Amino acid sequence: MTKEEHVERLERKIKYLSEGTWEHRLTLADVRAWLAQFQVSVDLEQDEQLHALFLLSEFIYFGHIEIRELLRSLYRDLFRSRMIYEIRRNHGGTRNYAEISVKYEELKKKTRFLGVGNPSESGNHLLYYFRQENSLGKELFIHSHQIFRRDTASGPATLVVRDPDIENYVYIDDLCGSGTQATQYMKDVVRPLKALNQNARVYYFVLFATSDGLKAVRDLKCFDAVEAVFELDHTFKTFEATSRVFENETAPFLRSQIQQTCLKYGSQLVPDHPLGYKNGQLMLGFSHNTPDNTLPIFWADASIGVGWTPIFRRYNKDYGW
Amino acid sequence: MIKSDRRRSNPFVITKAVDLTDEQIQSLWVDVVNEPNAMAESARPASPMPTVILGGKGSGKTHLMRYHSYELQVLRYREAALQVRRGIERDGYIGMYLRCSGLNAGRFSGKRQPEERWRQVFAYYIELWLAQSLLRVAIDLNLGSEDGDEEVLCQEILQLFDKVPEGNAKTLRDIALLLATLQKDLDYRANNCVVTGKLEPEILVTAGKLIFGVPRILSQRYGFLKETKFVFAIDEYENLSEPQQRFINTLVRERELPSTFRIGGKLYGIKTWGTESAEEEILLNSEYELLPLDERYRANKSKYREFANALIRKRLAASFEPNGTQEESGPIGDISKIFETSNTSWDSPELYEIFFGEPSGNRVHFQSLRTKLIESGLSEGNNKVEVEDLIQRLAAPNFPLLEKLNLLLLYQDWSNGKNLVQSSYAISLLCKSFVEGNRKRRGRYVGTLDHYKGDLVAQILRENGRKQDYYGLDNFVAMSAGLPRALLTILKYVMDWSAFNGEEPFASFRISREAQHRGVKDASDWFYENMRKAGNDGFLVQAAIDRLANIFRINRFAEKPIECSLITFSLDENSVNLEARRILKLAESRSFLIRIPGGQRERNSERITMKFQLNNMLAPRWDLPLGRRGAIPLKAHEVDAIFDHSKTSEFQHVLSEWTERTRVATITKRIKPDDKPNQQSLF
Repeated sequence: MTKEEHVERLERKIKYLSEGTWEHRLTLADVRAWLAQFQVSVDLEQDEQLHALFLLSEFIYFGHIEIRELLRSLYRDLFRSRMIYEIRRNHGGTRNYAEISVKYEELKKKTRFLGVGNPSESGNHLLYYFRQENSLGKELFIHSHQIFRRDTASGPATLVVRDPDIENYVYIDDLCGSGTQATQYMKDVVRPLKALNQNARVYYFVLFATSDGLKAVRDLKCFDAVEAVFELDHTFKTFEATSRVFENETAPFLRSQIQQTCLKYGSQLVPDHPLGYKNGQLMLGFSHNTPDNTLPIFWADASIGVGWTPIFRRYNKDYGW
Repeated sequence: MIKSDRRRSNPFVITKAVDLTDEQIQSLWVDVVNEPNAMAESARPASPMPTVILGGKGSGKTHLMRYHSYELQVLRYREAALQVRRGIERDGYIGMYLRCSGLNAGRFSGKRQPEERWRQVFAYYIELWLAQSLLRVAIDLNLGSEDGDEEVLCQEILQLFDKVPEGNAKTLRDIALLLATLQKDLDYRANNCVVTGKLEPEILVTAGKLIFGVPRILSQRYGFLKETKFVFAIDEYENLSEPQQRFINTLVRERELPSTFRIGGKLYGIKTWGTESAEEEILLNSEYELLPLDERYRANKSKYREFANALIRKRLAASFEPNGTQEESGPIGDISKIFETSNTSWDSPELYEIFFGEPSGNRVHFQSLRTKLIESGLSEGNNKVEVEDLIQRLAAPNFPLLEKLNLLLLYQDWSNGKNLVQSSYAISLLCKSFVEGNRKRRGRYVGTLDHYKGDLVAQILRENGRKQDYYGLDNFVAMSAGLPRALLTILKYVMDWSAFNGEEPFASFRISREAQHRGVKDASDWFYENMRKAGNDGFLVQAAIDRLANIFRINRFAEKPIECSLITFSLDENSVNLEARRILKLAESRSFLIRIPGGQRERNSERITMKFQLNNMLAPRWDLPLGRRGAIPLKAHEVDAIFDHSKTSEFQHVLSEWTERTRVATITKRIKPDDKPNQQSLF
């Protein structure tokens, strides 16, 4: 195949993706503006633009509709079924629907859903849709700081649990990449909470998680359950030996060459993490943001100090320090 | 980055009539009824003569049949503030549209039951099915209830049964319910007979009694129906088995006025013309008329172009100016101008721009000549041809198309063993004269340009990495080859690409050539993938078409094409093998090949042979021409090699032969150095 034929084929695939699951997010002009930042070569195996176009055609994007559906799945499959299982187990394996419903409603009242990160981050952003999709009352949602209060009634201020009747704390996030954020929460919130209320159960449920991320959080042995609706195993790491992107590796789309291209630009864009945060190597994006575990060539922009036009912009966290 | 909804709404997104609502069928209908050359069915929906409407997938059969259905008639009467009964009286027909796919006709066979029993059951089922459609219309027209004679009417209808059904039906609704119940019972029995082993329904009415009897009663009782034809329009005929079609054919033959039939089916949909009457066939033009829909469109190109224009305008208007004028002066304007076109005339600046700043000698076509002359040994020895001098004589730096023409003429002379130096002088003179304005149509230069221009332009584009020219509405219409759905599909893809290119096509009404190129390619691929038959035969057809198209492509991009704009061939059907004939027939029935009416008169034998062209929709897949000019007679062994998949090595041989035939032989007689060019007559 000539370069033109490769380009036509890949652009056609990207067009179909854009018209479908990508929600018309891209135009060919956007694609070409992004590609123009890569170099061309007469040797197709060395042609960076062809590499980038190929990777884009393999990008996985979850739009509004899919995210909402996943949030329903998260509630139904990860939370509700788990709770119903427990109710039945605690009540002699009952199949009485009315009884289970009553108990479930009681349990829900003793549950609070929380987003991971501060209120401006994606975990909290998702809570709004999570509540809508699952018809949940807003009283079931709190911020992390509402878990505790300072008790000054009996002398010096001490940290106590604000509502000791709450038994279930459910943390929700879009992605668990490396597990770093969950680890931070474990230190700041979960351990103190469990120390103050030994009956409290804390869950960490995410839409997506890498296998490594899940393992890292589970290994903390702090959360009562750590689950993802969709687990991204090693085949989702773009340049791993088992990568699904290069399952049928054929010239001119060679793994090593394309990895070189990503490293070349990635090390200029995000020097410490050229293939994504903690070598994430993902090619994953959401309608609300692109995670930093994704290859930086897709999301990096001028906000990180380098002139680059992203194709799936990432709205970075500006910590202000 | 998310763009407006306006960008996303593609007015061509629905391409199948079954997916359109009644209102859309009505609003998107293009009226050709009043045109002088209107098609038979469009012009005569009230004709008592049954009509079989055949056409390729997407030829507009369903749209046509639904347009003449009662539901659409009522819509039109409402729009015209006309009372329904008056409207029917004026139009003289009531259309009852039914789709065979809804019949699930496959149930009426096998299941441990003898065929004769199924024949009876199917006949009864059809009677109930058609009669219900008739009663739905009668109920909607308030026949009887509005006229004060419903009970008597019902009594009369019930008398048509061989055994009057139980119950006390006093209204048309009662009878309709009764028929529905009988049909449901029949469904139940037909579905369960494989389990019970029994299929013993009580058949209460003889085939034809209701569907011919009820209309007769209605037209006798109600004045406005006196001259009205009751038209049973049965679509998707291909879904019926051969015995089932034979039964319907029998109804067609034995029809009784005021009932008549329209039968719609795909080209391959007619499994038999036979009837149950001693195996006789229904007779064309005396018992039924044939309306080959897409063939009619192809036969009348200007009419089809008008139709296509109106069709597109309707779609655009429905999306963007539903209340606006449909004239070219309206906001949409001249729709052909929406699509950016190219200039491929002999003095085209666009073609010149491809080579801008490039001396003629460096251009691909002359490099190829240089290589050829060197490889043939003509550039060496005592009698050598001065290659660069020869190239300079054939050069026309500002007119690359003429350079290609000059080369073609030289290659033709070379193949004929003519002296190349002399030939180059003569061609140079012809070219100079042409540029200066001497363009007599009968001359060799103009004649060859006229014939081969399309191929030469295609060669220039291909040799220089440019996209082939399928731009503009006229090309889209030509490409669709009489299949309106194909046209809509092209436009759908073109619009999609335009939107993806960020062109905002529905705001600017300007669509780039790039979007057109990509859309046309996608539409061509869609046709290739969607028109084929499912299963192995589908792949065999595709394989044969691949082979055929490869031969045409070799010709188009050859130094010395055998025929100009070649996508047509003729053959003697009787001399080809059975498998080749079978695949050829399948390819025709699936619209991959189009039969040219009248065939081809062979030059030597004066015999008339069959003639086919590759469907234009497929042309862009292989960069082939849309226009049909030249035709080649294929020999029996060539047809076998192309259409019989098992003949792989034979096909390779045919391919090699073709390559050789279209290449200039490099062995030629040596040219004497002192040969003086003969001054030839210019034209």
